[in-house]
Amino acid sequence: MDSQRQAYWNRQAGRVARIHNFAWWLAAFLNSALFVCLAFACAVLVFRRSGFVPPALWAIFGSLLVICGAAALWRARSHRFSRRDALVQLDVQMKLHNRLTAAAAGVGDYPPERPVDHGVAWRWRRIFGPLAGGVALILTAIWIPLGSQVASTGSVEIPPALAQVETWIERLEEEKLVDSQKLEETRAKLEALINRPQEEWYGHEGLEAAAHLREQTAQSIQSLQRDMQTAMSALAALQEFGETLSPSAIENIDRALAEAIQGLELGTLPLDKDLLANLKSVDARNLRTLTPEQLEAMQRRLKEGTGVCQTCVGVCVGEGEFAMADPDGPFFRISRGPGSVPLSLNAERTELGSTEVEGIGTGDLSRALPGEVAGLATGEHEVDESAYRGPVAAGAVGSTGEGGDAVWSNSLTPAERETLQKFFQ
Amino acid sequence: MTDSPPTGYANETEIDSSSAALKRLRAALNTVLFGQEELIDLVIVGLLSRGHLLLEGLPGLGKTELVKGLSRALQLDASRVQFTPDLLPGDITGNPILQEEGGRRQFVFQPGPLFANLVLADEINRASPKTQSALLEAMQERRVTVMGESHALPDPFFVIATQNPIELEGTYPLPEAQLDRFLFKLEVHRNEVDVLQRIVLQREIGVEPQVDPTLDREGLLALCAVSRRIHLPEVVANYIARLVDATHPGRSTASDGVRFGASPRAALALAATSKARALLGGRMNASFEDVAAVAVPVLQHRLVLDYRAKIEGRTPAQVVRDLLESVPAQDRDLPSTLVAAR
Repeated sequence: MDSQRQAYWNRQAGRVARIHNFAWWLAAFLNSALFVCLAFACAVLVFRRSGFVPPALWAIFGSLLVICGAAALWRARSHRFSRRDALVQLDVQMKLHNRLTAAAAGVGDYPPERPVDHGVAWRWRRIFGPLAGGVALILTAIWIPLGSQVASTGSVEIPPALAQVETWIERLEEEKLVDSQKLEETRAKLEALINRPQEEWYGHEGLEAAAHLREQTAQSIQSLQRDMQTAMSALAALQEFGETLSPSAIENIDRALAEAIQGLELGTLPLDKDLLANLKSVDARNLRTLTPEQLEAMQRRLKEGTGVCQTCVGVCVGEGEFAMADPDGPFFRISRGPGSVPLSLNAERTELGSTEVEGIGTGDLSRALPGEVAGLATGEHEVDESAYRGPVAAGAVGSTGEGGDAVWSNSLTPAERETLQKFFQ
Repeated sequence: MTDSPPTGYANETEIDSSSAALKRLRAALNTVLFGQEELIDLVIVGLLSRGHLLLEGLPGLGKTELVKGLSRALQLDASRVQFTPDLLPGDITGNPILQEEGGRRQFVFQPGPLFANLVLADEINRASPKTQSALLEAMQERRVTVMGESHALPDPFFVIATQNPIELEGTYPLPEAQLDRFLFKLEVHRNEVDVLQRIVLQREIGVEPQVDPTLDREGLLALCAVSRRIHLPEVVANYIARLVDATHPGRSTASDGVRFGASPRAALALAATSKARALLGGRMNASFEDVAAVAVPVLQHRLVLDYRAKIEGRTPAQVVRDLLESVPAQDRDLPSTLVAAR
């Protein structure tokens, strides 16, 4: 009978011990498992950013969890709950007056069998909190969209300045107006900027470089346009008044034409070689070298070229001044403001149009801050000079007080006073 | 009686017979003192542990009646000393008297009231410290030395002292070191209405209640011996040790306000009284529950509180109750994944 009871209580004690030991192992494992999940999530993010997640990563993750489990087993060893501990636990929980402990020591019999209350409950939030946190970390690392993937969708537009330069180059290439070799150099500069990381396109440096390239290209096109206009004007004058012009006028036209040709040849974007060669063949002193049809064709070609430049950078309205072709175009859409505010002082103060100066008074002088204007008044101080104030002694005390006056109420904190009152009650 | 530790634990037969005898004693004392079952149990536990008791309570609650009933039920020699400020040590220990015997004069020791099995020291705090220390020395040594001659006190020797918690002017409160020699400090509380009604109906002033003898001196000593042989499991001893350690300042949160904690003698007292209580309950081993039940009367007079705790109205009994709450019976932490179920 007693051996049956002993077996029963030993079985129950073993169960209680297993619960405690597993709980200790779980407590040690959950912390390290959460750390492993965090590290795995970071690794997944890093590999995803590089574009390739090796399948072995999952195997490493599993191995780490197994190692964590073994380490938790090692750490939980120091908290091992023995069968003897479990008997004491049952004694306490079931108020058995230590009968199980004594019986295990050979004193007295085991108590009769009865349903067992283990006295402990699982703390589910503590168990599932780290588990859910670890799973959430891994899922987040797997599913969260990365910056590189966003960029590869091509949804980021290149800066407007670069787009504009690209348009200009395409147009000039299409019309074969400019020397192709020099145009390629400009295109190389453009591509160097476009090939930079997309995150830097709209950075300060990226925008600055794009704006600079656009400005440089625009100036080159404007210079080309100006020289072509000059050449075109010279050719028109020769064609119309060639026979009637004085030698000095022909000399002037010839000089202007030569300067224009020089500009068209040596500019950053030089004129197409064929067209330039035709222009160079023009001799203002001997117009018979060209037929009127040839002159007209050359003028038409220069006019077309001027029109192309005009569509790119606007109309040349004077020396170095251009009216832009499309004021609402992308060239004007992005602006970084007029620049820094000039930090200069005016010689004269700003007139705000105030007509009356009014003082701000404060009714409660005790709240006035040092330096604050408490009130404004005009006139003399109202001092009664005739009033006798008597001798004034320094260091006089307003009220000497009686012995013990106010000391009682002022020297005790409320807590001290309450304690004393309680004591004397 | 031997003072060496007992060998072998008490068996079931011994415990059954002892428990039956103790139940008879308890029943006899319950006819003397109505409505004080817990006090009577603790007094019996104190006797089984061979300790001295300090009863504190207002006058007229039956302290003296209890001692008288005890002496009759146990058939022990009893004496009563009313302590007063002018009481001298010799008045309680006894004095040498000059006697002439065979034509020769010599001092013959005349035993005082201490030479009894059961001594009731009424209002012990009214005696001078000198007399108090003579009594307390006798309690500790169980012998009296007069004029260089030692006289052993009868066995068993129990002192049951009383003191009133009121009218403390002109008294000499016992120092903590002397209080430590009392096994228990028991508080006698006033009776409820139904108990008072029972007393009025069944008692009469000047007429002492009849108590049947239930035990004799030898029987009591045998019970004390059985009590010493009750099994004290190691985990219970560990609980006692942790409990006593926790009474010291800084050793537990419950000991806030304690200036001096309990001594190792308190731990021994807890162990002895736990075993005695187990015997009274007919159990073969002492338990956590036994320790908790005797903790307050064993420890409350051994704790010295600081002025802050006194001003805040804390009592040593409250501190002990807090200790019982804060010190778990089993010294094992729970993992963070488990919670203690209620």
